[in-house]
Amino acid sequence: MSRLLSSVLALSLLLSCAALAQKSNLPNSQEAIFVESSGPAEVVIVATGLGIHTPKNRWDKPDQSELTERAKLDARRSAVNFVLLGGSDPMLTTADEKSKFSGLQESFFAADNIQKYIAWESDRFEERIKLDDGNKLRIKRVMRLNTRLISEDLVNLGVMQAKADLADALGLPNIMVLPEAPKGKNPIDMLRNDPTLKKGAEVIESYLTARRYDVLVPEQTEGLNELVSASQSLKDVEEDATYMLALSIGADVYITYNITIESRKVGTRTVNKAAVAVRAYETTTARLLGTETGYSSERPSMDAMVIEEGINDAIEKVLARINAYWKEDLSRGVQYKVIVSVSTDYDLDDAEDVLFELTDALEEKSKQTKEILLTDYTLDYLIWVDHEAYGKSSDIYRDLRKTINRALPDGKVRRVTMNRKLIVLKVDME
Amino acid sequence: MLKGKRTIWIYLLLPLVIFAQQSGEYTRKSITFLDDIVLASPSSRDMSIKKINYTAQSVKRSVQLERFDYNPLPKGSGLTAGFERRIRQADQLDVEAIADIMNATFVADIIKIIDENAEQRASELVDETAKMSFITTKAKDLGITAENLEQVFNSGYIYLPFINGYSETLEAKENDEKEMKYTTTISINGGILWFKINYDNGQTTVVPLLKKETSSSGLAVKNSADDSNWAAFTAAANNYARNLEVATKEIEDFKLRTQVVEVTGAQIGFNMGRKEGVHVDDRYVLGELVMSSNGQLSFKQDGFARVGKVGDNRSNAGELSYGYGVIVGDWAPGMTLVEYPTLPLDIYGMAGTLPLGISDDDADLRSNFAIAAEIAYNISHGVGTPGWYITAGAALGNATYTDDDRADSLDAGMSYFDISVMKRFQLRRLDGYIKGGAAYFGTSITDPGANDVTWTFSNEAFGGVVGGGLNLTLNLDMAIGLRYSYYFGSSDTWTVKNDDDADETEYDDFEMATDYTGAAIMLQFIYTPKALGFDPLAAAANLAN
Repeated sequence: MSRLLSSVLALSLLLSCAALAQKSNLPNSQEAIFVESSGPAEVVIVATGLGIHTPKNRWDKPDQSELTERAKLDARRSAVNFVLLGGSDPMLTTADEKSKFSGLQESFFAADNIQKYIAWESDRFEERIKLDDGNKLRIKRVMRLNTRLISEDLVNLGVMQAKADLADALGLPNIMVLPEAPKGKNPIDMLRNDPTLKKGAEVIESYLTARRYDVLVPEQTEGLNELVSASQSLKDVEEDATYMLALSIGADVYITYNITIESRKVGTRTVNKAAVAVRAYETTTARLLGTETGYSSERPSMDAMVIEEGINDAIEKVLARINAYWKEDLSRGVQYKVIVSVSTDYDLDDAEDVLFELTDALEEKSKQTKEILLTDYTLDYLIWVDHEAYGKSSDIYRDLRKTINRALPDGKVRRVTMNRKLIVLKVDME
Repeated sequence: MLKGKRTIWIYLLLPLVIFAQQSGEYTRKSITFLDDIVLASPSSRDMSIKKINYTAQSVKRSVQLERFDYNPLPKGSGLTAGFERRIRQADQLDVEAIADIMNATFVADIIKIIDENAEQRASELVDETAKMSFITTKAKDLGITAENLEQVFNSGYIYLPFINGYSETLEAKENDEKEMKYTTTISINGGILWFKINYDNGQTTVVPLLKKETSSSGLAVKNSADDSNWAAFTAAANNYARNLEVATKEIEDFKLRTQVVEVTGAQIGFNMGRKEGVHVDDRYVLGELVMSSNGQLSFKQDGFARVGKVGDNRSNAGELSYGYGVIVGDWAPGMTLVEYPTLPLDIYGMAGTLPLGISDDDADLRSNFAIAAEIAYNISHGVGTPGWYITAGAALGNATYTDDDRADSLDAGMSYFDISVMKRFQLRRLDGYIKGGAAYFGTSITDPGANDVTWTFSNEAFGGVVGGGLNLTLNLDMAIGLRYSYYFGSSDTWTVKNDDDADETEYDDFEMATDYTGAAIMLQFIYTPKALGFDPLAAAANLAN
C-alpha cells in the first residue's frame, strides 16, 4: 500500500514538474549566434526558437499558428538569454549577478517584458523545420536587441551595479587607444601618419565614448624617459612605447589594434576585407585582458567602412572582457602601481630600511598588494586600496611620504609621476 | 540558324544535376539568348528560314520571363556568327561541345555585360538582415558583399532552342461550293537546352544544365496552300513556345519560391510580386521542411494556394502579394511557397444532357446524351482580379426524333458551340462559377428514307448561354463538378438534302422550328495541363475558315 502511495506521489510530482516546466518562461532552445554589434547599444543575434506542443492524446495535434508563435517567443527569449548569460562575453559575469538574476528570471523572461528588448526582428526565418512528428517547430530568426535597455533594467532590478554607481565609486576605467607599434616605432607617429590606423582609433574611441568610458588620447611621448629612468623595472619594457604611454597618462586599460586589409577583384570591382585585431591590456602590469579579431565581409566598399565593420565585430567582445576585469578588480579595491626608487647615495642598509618601512606601510594600508619587483634601491608594487580611505592618488602619496620621512629623515621625496594609476617617487639624499 | 552541312547530334543524355532546393528564396538569374535555333535532325533542316526565325522569336518571347534579368549580346558584334561557324565546323556535336564553343566564343562578353550591371543586381540580393546591419544603416552603403557579386556572376544562364523533328502534310480538297480547300498539319518536336555559366576568380566555364522537350502540332484549313501552311505552322510554333515557357518555369533553379509572411485564415501574404512576374491565379504549393527521427530532411507539401492580388514590389519593395488557399493545410508564417507552373488554361470534359425541342405538336425531338469539351483561358492577369476566364466549348450529343406519322424513330445529332466569359469564385476546395456568352446550335436528323436514299434535315441557330456550376478541387491540377447551363435559341430554317443528290434545299419558315432553349446539366472534369499538343483555340480559328 505504501509502495503504491509513494508511486502515486512520485507520479504526481513528476506531472507537477512537467506542468511547471511547460509554463516556464525560460527559453527552451538557448541557442543563439552573435552576428554583429550594429552600434554601441545594439547587437544582432540569430536565435533559435523551439515551439513545443505536448499532445494530450494521440489525436491531439498542434495548432500551427500557436506553435509558430511559441517558437518566435522562444527565439526572442534565447536571444536575450544569450546576451545575458551566453557566449564568451555575457552581460552577467559575476556569481553574485547570476545568483540575483536567477531569482527573477521567470518574470524577466515573461513575453511582455522580453518583447521590449527586441528592436527589430526579421519577417523571415533563416530556418524552419518541423520535428518530433510535427509536435516541435524549430526556427532561426535574426533580431536586433537593445542591450542598453537590458542593462538598464538589470540595474533597476538590482541584478547589476549601474555603471554610474561604478563611476561614482571609482570611475569607469580610463582607456587609452593606440595602434600596435613594432619595437622602436612610435605609435603616436603611426597614428598621425596612417589614415587607416587613424580611422581605426576613431571607431574604437567612438565606441568607448558612446559607452561613457573616459578615453585618454596621448599627444606626445616626452617625459617617458624620465619615467623610465625612475625605475629599474620599467627599463625592461622601455621599448613598449604604448605601455609606457598608458602608464604615463594614467590609463587603467589600454587597447591596441592592428588592421589588415586584403583586396581582390570580382569582375572589374575591387572588394576589400578588413581583419582587425583588438587587444586590451591592464596598464599596471601589461597583462592581456582580452584579444579578439574582427572581420568585415568582403565588400566593394571604401576602406573606412570595412575597417569599421571589422572593429564592430571585435570591440564588443573585448569591451565585455574589460568590464568583467574591471568589476572583478573593483571588488579588490582601487589599483595603483607604486614605484619608489631610493638614491644610491644611501648605503644599502638605509635603503633597505626605507623600502621595508614602505612595504610594511603598503601592506597595512592596502586591501591587497602584489610585489612586482624589490631590489636594493627600488620597489615596484601593485596595491589595491579602499576607495573611501584613498579617493585620490595624492592621498596615498601623502601617506607614503610620511612613511619615508619617518624612515629617512634626511631624505627628500620627489614625485616623478603621479596619476590615477601610477605613483612614481624618487628618494634623494638632502 | 544553326543549320550545318554535317549532322548535328544533340545527345539526349544530359547530366540532369539539379539541386532540389525546396526551401529558401528565389534569386534572380540572368539570361542570355541567341536568336538561333539548333536544327538537330534532317527533317528540321527542311524548315524555311522564315519559319526558323519565327520559332526562335516565339521561344524568345515566351522564355523572357520577368523573373530574369537579361544579358543581350550586342547586335552585329559577330559573336553569334562566330558561334555558328564553330558549330558548323565541329565534327560531331554534343551538348558538352556546344558548351565549350559558347565559352570560347561569347561568354567573356556575357561576363562583361553582367559586370556592367553587377552592382544593381547584387543590391537586390542584399537580404533583410544585411539591410539592418551597420553597413547600411550607419555607413549608408548598399550592403553588397563579394558573395553577392559572385552570386550575380554565377547566375548567368544561356538557352538554346532546338528542333529535332519537323513534319508537315498538305491535303487539297474541293468543297461543296467547288472551292479548293487546303488542309495543313504541321508537327514540331524539339525543346530547349539550358547552359549555366560558372565564374570563379575571373575564369568562366559553361556547363550543360538540362534539356526540356516538347512537341506541338498545328492544323489549318485555308483557301491557299501557303496560307494554310503558315497558319498551321504559326499555331504549332506558338504552342511549342508556350509549352517551353512552362517547362522553363519548372526548372528548379528558375522556380519562384519564398516564405509565407502572413497567414489569415485561408489567405496568405508573401513577398514576391510584379518584379518576379507573379500573375493572378498562378498556383503555388505550400509546404515545410520536416526532420525525421533519423535526422533526414524532407519537404512536406501541405496544400496549395492561387494568387489573388499581385503586389507591385517594383515601386515598393515591401508590398506583399496575397494568395487564396484552395487546398488549405495547417498553414503558418515561415512556410515555403513554391511555384507550380501550368498553362494559363483549364480543359473541361463533360457528360450530361443538352436541351432540345421542336415546335410541332405532332412531333417530338428529344436530346438523349451529350458529351462536351471546353477550354477556359485564364484572363485574370489582364483583369487584375482572380477567377476570370474566356471559354470556348463544344458539345456533341444524340437525340431522337419521333412524329405521329412514323412508326419508327429517327436518330439525330446535336453539336453546340459557345464562347463565354466565366467568373469563378473560389472558397477553399469549392468553387462556384457563373458564365454567359454566345452559342451556336446545330441539329441534324437522318432519315433512311425509301429506295436507299438517305435524307438529312439540318437546322442551325445562334443564341446565348448562361449558367453556373460548382466544382470540387481534387488536387493541384484536377477538379470535378456539376454545371447547369441555360441555352436560348431557336430556328425554323432547315436544310434538306439526300445522298443521292448533292443539291441542298433550304426551307425557311418551316412549320417545325427547333427549340434550343432550356437547361443542360452536366458532370464535368477539369484538368489544368502543363503542356498541350496543340492549341485548341488556334485550331478552331484555323478551321473556322
